[in-house]
Parts: sequence; structure tokens; C-alpha cells
Amino acid sequence: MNLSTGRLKQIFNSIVFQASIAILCLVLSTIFGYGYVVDPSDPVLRIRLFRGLVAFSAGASLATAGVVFQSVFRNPMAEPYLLGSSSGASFAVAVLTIVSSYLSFSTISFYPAAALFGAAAASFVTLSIARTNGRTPVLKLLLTGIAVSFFLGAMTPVILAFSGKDLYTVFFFMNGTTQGAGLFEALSLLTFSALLCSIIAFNSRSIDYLLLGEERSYHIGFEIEKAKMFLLLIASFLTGLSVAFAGIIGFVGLLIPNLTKSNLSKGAFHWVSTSFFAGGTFLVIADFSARNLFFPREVPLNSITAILGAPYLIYLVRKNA
Amino acid sequence: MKKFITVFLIVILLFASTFSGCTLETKRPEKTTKKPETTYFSFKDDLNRELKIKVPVSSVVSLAPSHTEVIFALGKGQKLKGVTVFCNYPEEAKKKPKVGDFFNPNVEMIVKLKPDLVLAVKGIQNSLIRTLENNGIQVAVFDATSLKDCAKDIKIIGKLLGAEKKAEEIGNAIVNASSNYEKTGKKVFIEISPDPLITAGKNSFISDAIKAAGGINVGDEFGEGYPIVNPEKLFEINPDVYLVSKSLNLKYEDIAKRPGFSKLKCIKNRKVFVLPDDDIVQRPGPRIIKGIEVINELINR
Repeated sequence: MNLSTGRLKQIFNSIVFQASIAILCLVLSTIFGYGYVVDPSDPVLRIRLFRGLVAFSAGASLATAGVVFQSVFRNPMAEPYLLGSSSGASFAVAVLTIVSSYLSFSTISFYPAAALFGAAAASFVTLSIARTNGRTPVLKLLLTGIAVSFFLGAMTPVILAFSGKDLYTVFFFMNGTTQGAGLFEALSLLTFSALLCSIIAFNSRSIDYLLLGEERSYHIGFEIEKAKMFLLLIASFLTGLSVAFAGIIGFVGLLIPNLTKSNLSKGAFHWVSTSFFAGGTFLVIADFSARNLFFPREVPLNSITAILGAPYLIYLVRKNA
Repeated sequence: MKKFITVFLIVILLFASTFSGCTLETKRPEKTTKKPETTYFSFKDDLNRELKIKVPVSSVVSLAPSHTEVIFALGKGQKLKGVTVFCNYPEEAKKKPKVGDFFNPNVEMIVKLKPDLVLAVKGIQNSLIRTLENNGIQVAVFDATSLKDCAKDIKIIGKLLGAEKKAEEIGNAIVNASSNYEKTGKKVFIEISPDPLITAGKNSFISDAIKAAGGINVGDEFGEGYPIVNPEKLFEINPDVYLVSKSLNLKYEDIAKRPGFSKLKCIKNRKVFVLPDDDIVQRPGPRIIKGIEVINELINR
């Protein structure tokens, strides 16, 4: 990146600003909660913090992946589950549920691994099917993704019916929750998503080229194919990570990149970094609401993101009309 | 040309499969059952519908494991013409023709069996109920969420099948089951599903069973039915006993290692028990008497 010092300072300042807002939300969502007044030694504080961290990482990953998808497809409707990662994840979890009925121990702790594997595998299958003659046209990618998504989505109830198992676990898994997040989950997810998102941010030049249009970038001499595949693979892995630890959460990957797109004039790096923090903060707030709105009952994270997100998306649509 | 032949063959195959289904149905023998007396029994089912059914009913299809258990307990297993694949008790139930699973029973098979009555449950089977009734098959819906309702439903089923006395006996035994156990005052939490944590709340059959067994079902504080639980509230309630559904395959260690759980009284005192059998607690049928006994034993262990 050949950025002027002034530009660099500007980016640095905005990152510091966004990060402090995220941390502020995280702290508030940890301290406050319905229920009862807590003293600092209370384990509840740690649990809330871990849940908050998982929510932040999942939201940041999804939003960043959303940026990649929207620039690759050059379409504001593109979202991270487009390559079939969500149905791949639930399919893998369904297979694990069936396998676990033949085992004497619980396989619950293997759900994240299965989900990550399923999501990554489904995306990889989509990418390799759509790739022909060394090129991956977005239309082919889109259609293949839809086909793989629907196929795996349909296979999940079929194999469950075949095995006579019930749908509960898979159903709830699909609704998204940060419950059960411990120190290990929180830290590993945060580390990995921060790492992968930085890789995307430092490759933001590719996003600039993608937005320029494939043909034009190609003629400038940019290796668009390679960059596209690289970004999509990382974005799919990010999506898989979020699915693994927080379930399938809709709307974040679609809404946040649209929300932060006004930053695009400052370059794709800015778009990526803003989306990272905005997505994370948005999901921290959503998770806080899911936990506390109907206390002591919890609602699926998916419902909250949609209820908060849909009206805003409508507003954006109306505003730009 | 090749393409045309393939398409043609596929079309033929599709039609053949449809027609083979039809011929099976038309082959059905036209049986005329003798009707020596026509008495009608009127009652309200659990969808709150006023039903009037000719009794005694001579053939039944059960769409729920609990209904199957009730029918066998009433000694009317021979009237059962079809069950679901989930109907695993008693042993004889497994030999009955299967009409699909609990979620997707096969309408064609049920219609073919021509039962006088189908016993269904609420919610998931609602659309099926309409389809069956449009095909001229009577459906009664029983979906007890309390011991009292369960007893009431068994008595109605008894009247329908002509096993009134036996039904009266079982129903009263269920209602009176709670009198066998004194109130322990112990706070009991039951885990139905992990991640997200789900329990049995107010107006659920399991909640009623826990109360009958002498415990206090803390799930009631989380809402109706089967609510998703915010663990923070669970830490505040601090239950004495933690019950776990057997099908979850969870051990004490799995639950104790969850964030924050180590501080719970029930974890410290190792009062975490896996139910020996989920079915006896979850199914509103005659085995709930045994289920209550088991819960009581676990609470006092």
C-alpha cells in the first residue's frame, strides 16, 4: 500500500475510534444484564464477557466476509452463506448427531469442528465445481453455490429421517447462539477471525480491483482470478469459523457491508476495517438483546439480527432510491 | 433423439410409479363391518373440537408413541392397525405396521388402513389432521401437558375403545401418583437440550411430573413450554438437583465443565443425574407413574 502519512493517520484514528466503541459495548454488555447485581468476582461476568467476545468475533468475521462476497459478486445482495457454508455446516452437524447415537459419549464438543469442516468443505466444493478453464465466472459461482446449498439443505432432513433421529439439535444449532462459550472458544475465535480479517484488509487492493470490474482489472494486468479465489477462500473460512462457534446468524454479512459502504470513497481498506468493527459491535448488541430482552428466556440470535437489521436495510434502500 | 428417448422413459417411469400406487389402493377389499348397535360418544379433544364418535371403535391408527402405549395398557392392542416408527413400547408395538414417523406420517398408508379413528397430536400434525378428515377419516387429538389432562385423555380413549374400567383405573392412578411422594422442597432443573440450553417450563408435562415427584421445577421460572434458558438465571436459582435427558449422552463432567456451572450447588454436591429412560418421563401415558417414581428416587438420592 502506498499511502501518504496523512491518510495512514486518518485510518489509524478511525480504527482506534471504532475499536473503542466496540470495547465500550463489550464492557457495557458484560456489566449490565437483567438478573441480579454482580460483584467483580462473580463468574457471571466472565461468562458474559466470553459470550460477548464470541459474538464480536462472529459478527466481525461475517461482516468482513460479506465485504469480500459483495465485491467479488459486485452485488449488494451477496452474503457470506452464498457458497453453501451454512447448509454444509448443518449437514456436517446432522451427520455427527447420527454418528453420536452409536457412541457412548457426547459429541457435543465436536460440533464446532464438524461445522467448520462442513462449511469449509461445502465452499471448497462450490469453488472447484464453478472453476472451469482456470476461470471462475461469478454467475457460475452463484448458481453452483445455490445448487450446493439447496442440495445439502435438503439432504440434512433426509439423512435425519433415514436414521430416525429428531431435528432438534440441528434446528437449534441453525438459529445461532453464543451459549456455552468459554475462555478457549472466545480467545481462539477472536484470534483467528482477527488474523484472517487482517489478511483480507491487507489485500484490500484486490477488493479495489474487483470493484473496478473483472474485465478492466484484467486489462490493467491485475491477476484477478488468483485474488478472487484467495479472498473467497479466506472469507469462506471466516464464515465457517463463525458458524462453528455461534451457529448460523443471518443478516450481519448482508447488512453491515451495505451500512459501511459509504466509506468506500476512502478505499477498500477502510471499508473492510469499518465492517469488521461495525459487524462485531452489532452482534455484541444483538447478543445482549437476545440474552436480556425476555429474561430469563433467551431468543435465537437470528431473530434479533433480523429484527434490528431489516428495518435499517429498508431505510438504506429508501434513502438511496 | 437419444435425449428424447431418455425423457420419454423418465415420463413413462413417473407415470408407472403413480399408477402402481393407485392400483394398490383400488385392490382394497370392500369390507362391510357389522354394526350391531350404534352408540355415540361425544367429547372435546385437545384441539377443543366437539367430536361425536361411534363407539366402540374397532380399528385405530396411533400417530404418537404415547397413544400407542395407552392403547396397549388398556388391553386393546389388537385394535391398533398402524403405529409410527417411534412407537417402541411395549414390544408388541414394534410388530405393528408402520405409517411413517411422528413428523411425517404417510397419509396414503393411513387412508389405506381405513381405521375408524386416528389418534394424533397437536402442532406438528395439524395439517395432516385436515388431510385425513378430508379423506373421511375421523381424527381425535390428544396432547396432554399435565397429569390431570393425561388422565382425562386416557379415560376418553378408554370410552372410545370400550375399555372404560381399565381406563378409569389407570387415569386415577396417574392423578393420585403425586400423593405417594411428599414435597421435598428441592429445586429441580431438567435439561432437555444443550447449546442452547432448553428446559421444561410451565404447562409442560415434564414439569408436572417433577412436581408430582415432590420437587420444585425451576424451569417454570423461564416461561411456558420448552424455553431457551439464560444460564445467568440458573446461577441465581441455584438448583439442588440437575436432571439430564438420557438421549443427550451427557455425563456429569460434560455439565460441570460448562462456564460458570462449577459454582452450582448441584454440581458441587454431584447431584447431577441422567434419567434412566426419557420415554417414561416425556410421554403422557401410563408409564408416567413409573417416571414419577424414578424422578422421586433421583431427587432423594
